[in-house]
Amino acid sequence: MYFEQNLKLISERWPQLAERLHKTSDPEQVELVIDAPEITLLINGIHLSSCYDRLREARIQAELVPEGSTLAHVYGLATGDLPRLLLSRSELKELNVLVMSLAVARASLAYLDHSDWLTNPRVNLLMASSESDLQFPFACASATLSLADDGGARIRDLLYLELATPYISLQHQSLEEELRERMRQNSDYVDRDQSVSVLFSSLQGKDIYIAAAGPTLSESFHLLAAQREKIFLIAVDASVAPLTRAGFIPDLVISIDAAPHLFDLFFAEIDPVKYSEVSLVYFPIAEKMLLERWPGQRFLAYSQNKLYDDLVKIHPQGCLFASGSVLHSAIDLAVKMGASRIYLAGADFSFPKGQSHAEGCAAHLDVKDARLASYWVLNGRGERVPSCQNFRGYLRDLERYLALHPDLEFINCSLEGAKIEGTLSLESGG
Amino acid sequence: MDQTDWLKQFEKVGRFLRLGMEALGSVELVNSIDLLIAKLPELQPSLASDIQVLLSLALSAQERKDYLYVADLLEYEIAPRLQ
Repeated sequence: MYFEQNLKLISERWPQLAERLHKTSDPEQVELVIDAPEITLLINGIHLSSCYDRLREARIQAELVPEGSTLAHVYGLATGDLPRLLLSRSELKELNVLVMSLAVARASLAYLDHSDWLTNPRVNLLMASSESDLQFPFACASATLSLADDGGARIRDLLYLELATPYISLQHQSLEEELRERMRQNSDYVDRDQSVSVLFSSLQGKDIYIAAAGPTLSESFHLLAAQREKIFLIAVDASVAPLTRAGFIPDLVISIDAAPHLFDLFFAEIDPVKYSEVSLVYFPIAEKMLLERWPGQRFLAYSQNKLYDDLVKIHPQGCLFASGSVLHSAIDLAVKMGASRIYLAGADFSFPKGQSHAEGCAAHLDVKDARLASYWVLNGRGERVPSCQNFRGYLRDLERYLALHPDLEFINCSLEGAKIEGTLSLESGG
Repeated sequence: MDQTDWLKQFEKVGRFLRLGMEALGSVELVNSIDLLIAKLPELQPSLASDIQVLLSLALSAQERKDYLYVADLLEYEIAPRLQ
């Protein structure tokens, strides 16, 4: 066992981290795998490294750090192979190794000798929980993505997001022609509708309430009811039905999705008379039926997606932030309209109460299948709540956006959904 | 698919999984499993049975997000048996 030896080395250079490692409990299950070609650890059912060829695996992981880099970051110390391999590069002057889980690090330090790289003067050992964003160039001991603790969760999600970028690009490419056809079908509307930019700065200093479609949407309906006369209500498309059923008619609806049958799914029940004064902000890939049947005024918006590059040149329009979720665009619209305080309702990025969406939303599901919710995020109470990969990515992209607007007040109306960095809770801020 | 092709296919999956590229790795894993299942009837019954056991282990590992073990099973256990 190597724990005392490894911990002594750490305490000499990083005493605070050593103290935390000392106080941390062991993982629930730790097994030293010795009946395989190479020794590794099995922690809570996850192999910390290959048990056939650890060096080859570390070489693959190290490929993310370009040759010649003088600085690199390693997320997860795992079995120590990755830092060890990167340190063999003579040109590397500084290596920051970030602990993604204290318990996993403790187990690895207990069973494996890390002294060679821990004593290397080029190494800094840090907690991922103390980092606000990813650092580049990086390599990742990928098992630690499945084993990150609560403190490492945010960096874990940012790593997933970064590492999923090639996949997301492929997905976008595969849909591009279909989306261009959708834009061609909508060209009459795109040509004649006003830009969303005419709405910008129209609500300077006002409060805006954004209704997303998460399960906790209804939690703050009392607030909405009390302030409805003086608060501007933006609804994302999927929240229209739950709002309508609760007696609320939004001032503006936003829809950026290209999904087919979106009108039937989210808008089939709306009363055209009641919605005749409600504005619609849409992206050019919207389902045509939505544009044809919308009873109120329409406003055209874009994102920075290259899909819109040509259209932007012909029809310069207002651009809204979008990174997978309509909520991103709704919030950016509220910011650009001039709101000083923005309430986020149903912005859950998770499955609180075992539900996928707000009651009354056509997409609502009981999320009983563990495979649908096999990931987690921390909620406003610091508890783990089931989530999925996409939600976690949307959440972290939103947090990055909010960090660009420290002068504005964002209020998360629920503690049951994901904790959103950069927001206040209704209790503390509302 | 000959032995080299199987190894290349499984190394592709393994590379994505070892890098932490779960989404791409999962897509390639599904492709690999589809190819492998189609191949099973062509194999000797005992070999097909061995591979089914290994495949079952890989799927269980995938379910618990033990992706490095999935990669190990594909590259170091299943691929050599397809020689």
